[in-house]
Amino acid sequence: MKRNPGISEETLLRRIRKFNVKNSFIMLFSVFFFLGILMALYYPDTEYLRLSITTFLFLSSIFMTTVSLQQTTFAGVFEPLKAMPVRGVEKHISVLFLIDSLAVLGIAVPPAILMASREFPSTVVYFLWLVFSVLFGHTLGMVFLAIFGFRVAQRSKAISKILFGVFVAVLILAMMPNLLVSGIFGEIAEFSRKYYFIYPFTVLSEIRMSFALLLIYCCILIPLNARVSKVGVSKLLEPKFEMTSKATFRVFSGNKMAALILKDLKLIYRHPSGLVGVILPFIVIVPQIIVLGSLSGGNAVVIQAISTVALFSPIILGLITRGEGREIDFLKNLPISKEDFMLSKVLTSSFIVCSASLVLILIAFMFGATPLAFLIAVPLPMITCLFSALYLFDYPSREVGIPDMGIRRMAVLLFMCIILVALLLAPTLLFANFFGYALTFFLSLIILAFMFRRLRNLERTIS
Amino acid sequence: MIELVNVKKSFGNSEVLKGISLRVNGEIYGILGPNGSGKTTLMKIVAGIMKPSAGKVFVEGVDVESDPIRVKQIVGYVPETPILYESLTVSELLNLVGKVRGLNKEELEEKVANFARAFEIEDYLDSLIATLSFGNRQKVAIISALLHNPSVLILDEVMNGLDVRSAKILRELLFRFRREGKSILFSTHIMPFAERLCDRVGVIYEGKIVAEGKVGDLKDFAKVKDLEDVFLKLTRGEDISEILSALI
Repeated sequence: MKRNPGISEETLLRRIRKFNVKNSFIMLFSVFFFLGILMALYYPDTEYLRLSITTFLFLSSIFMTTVSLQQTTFAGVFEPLKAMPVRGVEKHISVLFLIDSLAVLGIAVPPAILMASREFPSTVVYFLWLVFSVLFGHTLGMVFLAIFGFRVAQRSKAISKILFGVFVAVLILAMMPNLLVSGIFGEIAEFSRKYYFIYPFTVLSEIRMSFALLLIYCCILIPLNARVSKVGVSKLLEPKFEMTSKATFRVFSGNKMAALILKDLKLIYRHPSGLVGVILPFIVIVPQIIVLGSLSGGNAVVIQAISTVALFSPIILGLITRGEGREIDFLKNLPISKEDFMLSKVLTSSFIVCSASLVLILIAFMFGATPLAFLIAVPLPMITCLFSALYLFDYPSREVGIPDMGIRRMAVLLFMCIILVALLLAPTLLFANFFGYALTFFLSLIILAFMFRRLRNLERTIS
Repeated sequence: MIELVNVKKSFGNSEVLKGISLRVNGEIYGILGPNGSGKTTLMKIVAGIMKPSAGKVFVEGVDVESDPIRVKQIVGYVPETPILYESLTVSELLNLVGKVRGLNKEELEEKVANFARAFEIEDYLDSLIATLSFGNRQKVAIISALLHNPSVLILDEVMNGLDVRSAKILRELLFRFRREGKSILFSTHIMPFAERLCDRVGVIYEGKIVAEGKVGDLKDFAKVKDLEDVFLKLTRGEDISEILSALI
């Protein structure tokens, strides 16, 4: 391959050359597998766990199908296929995205292993229900695209509305069963026994009945999926653009940094991987807070919530930085320094992580946690964001660029963040009173000031 | 003013630029050369996006290597392939550029309105970049480069994909910029454009400038009637009719 000066990012070039669908699937599966371990550790109730995971897989599959397929189509990935003499392109594309969605099954594997050690046959049927959930979500996603996909092709606002709808629906629906099930599980269990034949309560029914229901559901779903996928994908491949009346240009009020942050937030909002990354902390932590909050209602909930959110910082920062992709070449044309670029990434990721932290502390507070937790809800996640940026962007050049974010480097970063968070939370853990929280708060402020100073002096250090 | 002093660039073992020196001052300077001759690499180096392996580049007296940010404030650069944020709308992208370049609200509003009307992209302001045709993307890239009224323009194959009307508007704009004393470095494959537009041209071949001067002088020197023949004579020296007869 001839070196193309049009692509100046050598690392990006390497990544394009090495890109592999299998590796991408393994990577995504591993992330979900890790989350599955957390779920298996925190949910002792098997029925509760089964229902939660089933709902999660179903919703994730809808989300991944609709968002990924729309975005990939807009990016023109399928354009070359149109010119090729290949039959059944729609089917291939649909199956490709179904495989992509199957990666979320990773979250179910650790809890399933735990269940299988107790009751093997029912776990097998349950696992088949999980595969069904992904297929069901995929089918509904396709129905959604068949109905709306072709109408939203041109206007960004229409896309935003659809994405926002999907985002809110997934978030609420993912939390609702957890809230209901953990709060009034007895009543839900009774409801599910009465309507055992309705999905997702089918997963809680008796094994033979469950298997029979699965077969019936599959008989309906598989032909439906084949039909709907064809219509859904073909409508995306041949979109009817809605031409709009003359648009007006409105100037956004804000400075250079605000413009960069807004750009990052919009990119996350419109990129499936970015949105998934932002939703994940909520999906993983909210149920934990509810369960732990109802059990203990004390210090442990707060510390667990803040530390988990803080540890999401490197991942969120990585997602935001990677989100630039090849388009970073556009930024390179503009007068943006490395420290401006870094600061914009730190502020965007801090905005997301601190918002998550505040929401979670609010929920924890409702479940009896101390209001003192609000003292550390913002500085701690900010420190991990800033620390991650200083570590990742530690390359000698002064140019704006995407740093090396390989698995090994990210693992080292995560390990260092764990130590940093543990050290900062030590006073809170030791004293568990106002003094402990205040000490952590002041320590965090000092470290934050030091790190910001280091970031602002970066230009001088490199020179 | 743009000044290049013995600029070299290597990628691994392959030397793409082998000591280029030129000066562009208040004029339109055309860089002509076949594919892979190093035009894009040269443009990127002048725009401060790529570093030279050796040599110096000055833009309005500023050393590109030591202060690339200052150079990017001065320069308006349109790359060969417009790489824009696909997931942003045209409005959002121009807002980003305007804010980063420090334009105030009224200035940005007025400039975007005028450029959008001139290049007929008013209907696409709310569209995602990903949905635009190549030509419309090119127009967005051109507007992005011109918003801050740069004193130096670096235009890499800027006419690619433009419709007749937009190409004419851009050409007239470039003439106006030249009258205002701006320096324009312009690369192209299309010889009639270069002939009509450029005050001077430099032919780059295998990483070196093999000829430089006014279009008329080059034609006289090569004893041919148009720039296309000058270009072919300097870069290949082959008989095109022989190649064609072998093909058909």
